Amino acid sequence: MAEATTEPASFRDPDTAVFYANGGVFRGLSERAASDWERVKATAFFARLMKEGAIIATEEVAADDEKAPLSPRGSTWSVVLRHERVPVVSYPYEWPFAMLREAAASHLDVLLAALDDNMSMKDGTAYNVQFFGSRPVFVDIGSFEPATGPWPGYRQLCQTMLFPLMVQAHLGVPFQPLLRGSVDGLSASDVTGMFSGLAKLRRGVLKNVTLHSMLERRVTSSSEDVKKKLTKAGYNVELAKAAARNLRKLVGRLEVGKRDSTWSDYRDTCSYSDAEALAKQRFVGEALASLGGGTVVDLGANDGAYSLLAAQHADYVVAVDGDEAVVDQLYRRLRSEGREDILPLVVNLADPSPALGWRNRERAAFSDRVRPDAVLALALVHHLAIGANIPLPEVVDWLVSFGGPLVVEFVDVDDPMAKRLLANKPSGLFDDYQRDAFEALLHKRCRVERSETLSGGTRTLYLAVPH
Amino acid sequence: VQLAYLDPGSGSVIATAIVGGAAAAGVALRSARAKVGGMFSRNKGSAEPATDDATDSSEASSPADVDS
Repeated sequence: MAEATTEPASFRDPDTAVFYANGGVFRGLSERAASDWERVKATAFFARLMKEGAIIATEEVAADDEKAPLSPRGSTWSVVLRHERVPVVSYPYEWPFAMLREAAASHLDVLLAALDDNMSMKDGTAYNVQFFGSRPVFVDIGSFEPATGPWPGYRQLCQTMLFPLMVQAHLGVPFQPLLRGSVDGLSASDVTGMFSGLAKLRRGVLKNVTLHSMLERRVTSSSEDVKKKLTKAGYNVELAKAAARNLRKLVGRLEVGKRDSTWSDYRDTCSYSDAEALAKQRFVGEALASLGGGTVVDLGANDGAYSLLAAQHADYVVAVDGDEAVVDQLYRRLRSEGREDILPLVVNLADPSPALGWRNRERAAFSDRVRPDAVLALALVHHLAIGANIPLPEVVDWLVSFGGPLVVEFVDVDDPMAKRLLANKPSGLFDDYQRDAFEALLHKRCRVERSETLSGGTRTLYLAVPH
Repeated sequence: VQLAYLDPGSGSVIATAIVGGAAAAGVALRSARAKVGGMFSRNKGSAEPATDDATDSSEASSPADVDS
């Protein structure tokens, strides 16, 4: 295991850490964690959920202490596991509503199955879940421990999943900026202030928010003390199961109202004709087919029409859009079709996810996680250059920085969609936004393999390979 | 309230007991009566008000049964 590197986010539990070596993903376990692993790997639920894909595929490998890196605290590992690699790592602040709800539901389903076999989990954070396309997978194998009293992950479940979902479902406030603002999520006391008046009566608020926050303020004994006393009073695994079941029911019932976002009906209102749409699909399809396989990122994916097209040619597609409502619709569609080859994410491309957490290393920036083999940027450049005032050379630099070939569309100032954007800006500010200028910038950085102007004359597509 | 990662939070532990429904809340209440009461800061060292607090909690939880 030469040149192993420890995952920077994997330090909070001293008994386990993830590291990468030889292109593989490994997890070191301390002696204590190894004894929990011995127990969990012998259970029926673990084998079943791993087979079903609800738990990350994991196998034990020979612990080679000399080559495995030391733990972040300097000790050696007793046991080393190998995990299946997640194609593209994403974080809860990049997930639309239905995706976070699915993450919470699947986390609780794994907990319920574990409790049936007398196992529980140490924690309950949204970061325990990753996605293979639309399928949620529980990845924190180090979290399993024998079940005792109340589930210790409840507070984290609330902070990183339940409260964000409730805030969006009950108050209409999108949770993504809130989760991005704090790696630990929203505390009960933060959220209490958001639910005022009748909102306090909404589903699940009284117990999980109001009462929870009151108890957090009032109860001053140690957690261990409280746990012991509850267990002594008769709190057992059955009651932990009842709590998990109620939480699972609550999560399943949280829903957002129907939303009309700017982009949710873009496909119906966009400006180009059927003939243009067909020509565009043909260009994109042929361009992607010529590139072959790998991972494609579809920047400004909207309803995912071109992500679906890209998936015919690529192994994996990351569909990125800043509009939560359209990404939410796309996720629901992909989930209902059981698609595992398209990962939909909510990211404002003019303000993509930064590096967060301890030393800004715990959660990697969007640009460090998404390293595609090819980039789709259709009807995007004008939004960045005109809508977000980003200088055109910077837009091209940024597209090239992904490293792979680009399939990019330039929309002229005469196009109705570009005109609409320009109408909101003082005139004369975007005189440099011209097709000639864009082509010059592209040629400077790339070899343009093919290009085609659609029949309307205002939209041009390019397949460009960076030098 | 600043809480460490693997610390479930004592208030949250009681809250999750109550989320478990009537039986679990009963256990929480019983443990409060058995003078887990010392848990509540406002009532340290006094058995009766501690029980009051726990009763508040279970009262607060009963209307929530309807909505969860």
